[in-house]
Amino acid sequence: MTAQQIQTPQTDRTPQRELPSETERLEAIAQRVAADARIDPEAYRRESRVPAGGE
Amino acid sequence: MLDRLMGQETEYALRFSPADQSPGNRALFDALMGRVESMVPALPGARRLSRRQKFLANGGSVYYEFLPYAMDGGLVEAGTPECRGPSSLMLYQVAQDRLLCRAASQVKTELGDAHAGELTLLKNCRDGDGNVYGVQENYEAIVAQGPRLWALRAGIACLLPLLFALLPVVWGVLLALIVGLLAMLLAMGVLDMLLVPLFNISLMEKISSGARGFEQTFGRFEMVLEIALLTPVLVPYALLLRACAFRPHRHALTPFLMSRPIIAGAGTLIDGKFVLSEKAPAIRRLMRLTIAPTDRPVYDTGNLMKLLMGPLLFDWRGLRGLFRVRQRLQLGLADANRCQVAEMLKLGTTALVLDMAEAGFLDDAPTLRDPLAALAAFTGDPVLQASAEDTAGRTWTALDLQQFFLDRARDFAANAPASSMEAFDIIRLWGEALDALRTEPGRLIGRVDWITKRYLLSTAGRDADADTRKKIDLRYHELGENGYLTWLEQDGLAPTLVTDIETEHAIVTPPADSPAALRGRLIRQLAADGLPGVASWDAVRSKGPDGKRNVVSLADWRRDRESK
Repeated sequence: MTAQQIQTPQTDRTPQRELPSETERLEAIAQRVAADARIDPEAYRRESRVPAGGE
Repeated sequence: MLDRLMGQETEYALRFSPADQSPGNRALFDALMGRVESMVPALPGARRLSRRQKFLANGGSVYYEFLPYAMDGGLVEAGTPECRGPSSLMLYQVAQDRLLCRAASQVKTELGDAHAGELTLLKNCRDGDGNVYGVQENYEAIVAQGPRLWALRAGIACLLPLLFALLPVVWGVLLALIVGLLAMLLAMGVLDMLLVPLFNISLMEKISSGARGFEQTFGRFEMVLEIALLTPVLVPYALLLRACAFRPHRHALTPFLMSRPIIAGAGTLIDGKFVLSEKAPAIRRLMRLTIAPTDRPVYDTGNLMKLLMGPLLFDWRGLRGLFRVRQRLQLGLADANRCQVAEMLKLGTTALVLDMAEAGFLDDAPTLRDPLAALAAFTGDPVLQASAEDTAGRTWTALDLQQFFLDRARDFAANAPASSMEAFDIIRLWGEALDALRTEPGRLIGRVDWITKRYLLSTAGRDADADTRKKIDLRYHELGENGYLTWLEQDGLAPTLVTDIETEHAIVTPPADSPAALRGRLIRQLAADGLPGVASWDAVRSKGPDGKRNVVSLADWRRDRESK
């Protein structure tokens, strides 16, 4: 699945020069997520561990 | 239509960063509740001693959930107030998330400098190590009717003498265990008096240095013992419930729930493979058989088992509740949603299916040959091509099943004696979701969690290592400004269905037309008057300025409503 697949009828009617499209905003967030997710992911996993869950 | 009481219990994982500064989850929970109580009036709950429970001004509850062998590794468990209908429940769920998130962000002031770090909450169902917890949905429903209801009641009545005969045995064994433990500690103290001067070895010191291991071993032993001792009552009770309880509901709900993750699943990575639901891979059976935490069912009758076990802790009042016609139908197969559209779809479609089941509108719903195998197939297939066979030999994809229930809901709503705008809204949302799944799933980014998470994994997580991809999976669920779904919401890419004003109001005000309305009012009154009290789901107990005890039963509220 790609962001290009998203239909955005509302934003299609919006002047493109003023607002980034939904697809562009999604891609920007994906880049932000990619940058954050690379910061010590092992520590994040350890910090969010729930030993009382237990399967 | 959509008029039943509903509620949701959510377990939030506590994340403290950096981990080596954490004071432990029990202390974090206490600090969190300190902040919660600074924001909203609260009363201690009936489980205040064992679980630090509090009831809040809106009628909901928060407590510390843990297993006996991992007391310091617990979670925040919060229950919404009882709400009438899915839209109300949706609002109170959002209000609960916001209150707890706000409190977590202020915990620093409670902890002081000794534990410098940041507390955040994750609203998910599976941690990075595969430990499972999460959400349970509750719907008030007619447990049985006619001969089946009487068979259920007669069965319970027959089990009570067995329970009463077993109680002294359980109490005796637990007492012997405690006495044995104390005797062991005493003996070690005496031995230490000999060993320390002669060999400089202290048994007590060895025990206390391994206190956590000792606590875990003792906790596990106590839990296994309790399960084993209660099995003679609980297994026959579980089988009785299987034979008599919620049968029309289960008949209709089973194929619906097995396919529901395509609209309401949170999605997760398990050993690097993407599955549509966090909870589904942990489901072991359709109906609970024992009280073991790993015996995870689709239909969780643990709440009814707890009523039966009440006398174990000298709580006899709950036994009467076992004979009620309306009971709480609890669903264990439920994911924690971050997308509000998915949350609404989960609650709204399920409530509609329950309404249809009670009206006899789904008596001809398909019966899957192997429901749990179908669940595994559906949730393991993100392209939604997997199919499962019903007992008539017809094969269904998850989309086919959802379409069957949607079509029935359209007929049901169109022919209902009273029109419900809420029902039509849910049906519209449901139809749009199924259309998008069939044609362009990308349209559901920000609306359905598993689609959103899969998008982030396929873009932000492309070519990333396993740990980074897992962090995307986990941090997607983090409440607050650093959660990945929050970023989508802030940018208008994940629609919200409730406004800020509604949410703030729901944090401090109970829902109307619910026992929570009375509970919430009493909590606020007692807090304002500075009077002591204890709240529970069934009653509010207080002591007046003259020292006179007062008990307000919330069952009275129910009787009043039904008589109107």
